[in-house]
Amino acid sequence: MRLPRFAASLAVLVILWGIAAAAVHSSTLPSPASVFLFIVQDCLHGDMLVNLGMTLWRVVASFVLAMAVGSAIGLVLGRGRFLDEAFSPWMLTLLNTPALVITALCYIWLGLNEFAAIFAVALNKIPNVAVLLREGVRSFDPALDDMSKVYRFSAWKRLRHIFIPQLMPFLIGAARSGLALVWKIVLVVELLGRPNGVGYAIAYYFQLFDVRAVLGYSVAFSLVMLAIEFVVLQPLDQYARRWRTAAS
Amino acid sequence: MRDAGEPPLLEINIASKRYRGAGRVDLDVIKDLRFSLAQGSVTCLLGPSGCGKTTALRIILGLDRKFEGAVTPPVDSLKLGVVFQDPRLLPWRTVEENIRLAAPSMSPSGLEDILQSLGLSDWRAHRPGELSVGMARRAAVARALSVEPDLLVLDEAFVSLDERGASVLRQYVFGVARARGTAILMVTHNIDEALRHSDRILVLAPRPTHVLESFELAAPLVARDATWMETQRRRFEQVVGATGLPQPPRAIASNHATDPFW
Repeated sequence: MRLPRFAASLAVLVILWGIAAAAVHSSTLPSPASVFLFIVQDCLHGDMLVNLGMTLWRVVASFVLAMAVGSAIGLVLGRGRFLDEAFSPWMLTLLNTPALVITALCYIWLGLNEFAAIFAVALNKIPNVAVLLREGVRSFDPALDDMSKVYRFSAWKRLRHIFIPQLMPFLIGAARSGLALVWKIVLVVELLGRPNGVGYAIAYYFQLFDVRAVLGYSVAFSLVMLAIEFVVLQPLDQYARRWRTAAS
Repeated sequence: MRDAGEPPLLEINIASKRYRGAGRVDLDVIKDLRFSLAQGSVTCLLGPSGCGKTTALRIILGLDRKFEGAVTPPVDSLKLGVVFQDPRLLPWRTVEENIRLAAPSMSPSGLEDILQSLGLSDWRAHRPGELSVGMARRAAVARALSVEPDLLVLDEAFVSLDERGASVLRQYVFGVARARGTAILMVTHNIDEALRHSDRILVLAPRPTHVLESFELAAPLVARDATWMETQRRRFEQVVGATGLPQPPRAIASNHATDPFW
């Protein structure tokens, strides 16, 4: 979706929120203005920037780890039928294990530390990336593979010009869905066992029943993730699909 | 054509090729397919649909190594150029990049020459999705010739082109290959094409395939006029008739195979 249309759609949502807040007139549904005011004040005088920074670091670290490990597993499973048959049940089990269970077990086994938090988030996302990439590898066009063999492409040339371009839509799909999933899991992980971050802050303000602060943190981090989507992921997606656009 | 006594460019000896189907039922596709390719010669494989021509080509190209027999010398030692039925261009690369990936050491002037000759100069910076079927086929031909192959394989390379475009492209491909002394192995359903351009047509049996007859065409290309073509067509029909196969359609002027058997 183009940025102006997206912004217009978001503006409509904020207006509807404002109308609902005015109608309810209760602290359980604060107005958009008061939430944005909280964001500004907490950025200037509170811990919001520190908490956003910590959460963003955990999102980036676990996202990179999950994409790297998940992609490698996906490539191996996609190329080898035996390994796929052997490890698909593991992937399926992990895919269906609740994030909360994985997080709790990681904290118990690895301790309440940063590594456990990032590992838990990555572990939640790895099967998702692996399954998507496995499907990507399975959809490779064997005709192009044959062509590359006949013309004696080196391994690097085949990877760069044959495999990666075919994998790009799957990689970007995994990245976009992954980022959305990862930051939500990071919040759960922070809520359960970290002394800072957006998840920790939301849990703290929840105990105080401060809905304005809960919404403020939620909106602030959503804005950060939307910025990443528009500044990094969408341009990357358009770059990867540029040849399709030209063909249509 | 090679001199007598000159070793062949390639000896193909496929004793057996089987595909394992569902329920572990083996399907014999090729049995005792043996022939050789001489340097600079044009050999045509002509056989019924589904007889195993494409399987044989895959083995010869080194894409399928699960067979009994041998291709000597190993095909890895030869430079190969292939024009497949579909162009198999990388859709995310331009025409020029597609050619350069196959022939990275090609000189800029050599590239320009080949693009110019095939009418692709103005399309060099365009991706395959922007090309017509004919242009994409020409780009595939440009790529195959740009590697200056020892062996050029044409797998129904001129199908789905209009007859005039196909004729022009054939003249160019066979002209360049003959001038360079490149051996050509082609699969076609177009008997006129086979008669006009080949030195030899190998008539293949239905599955499991092998060579039924080797039909030699010794006349120089310039002597292959309408009268010669008609004579050879009759000769060829007699040869096919003697094999017990149904006659291929008499006049396949089109590049589209219309007979379900052939």
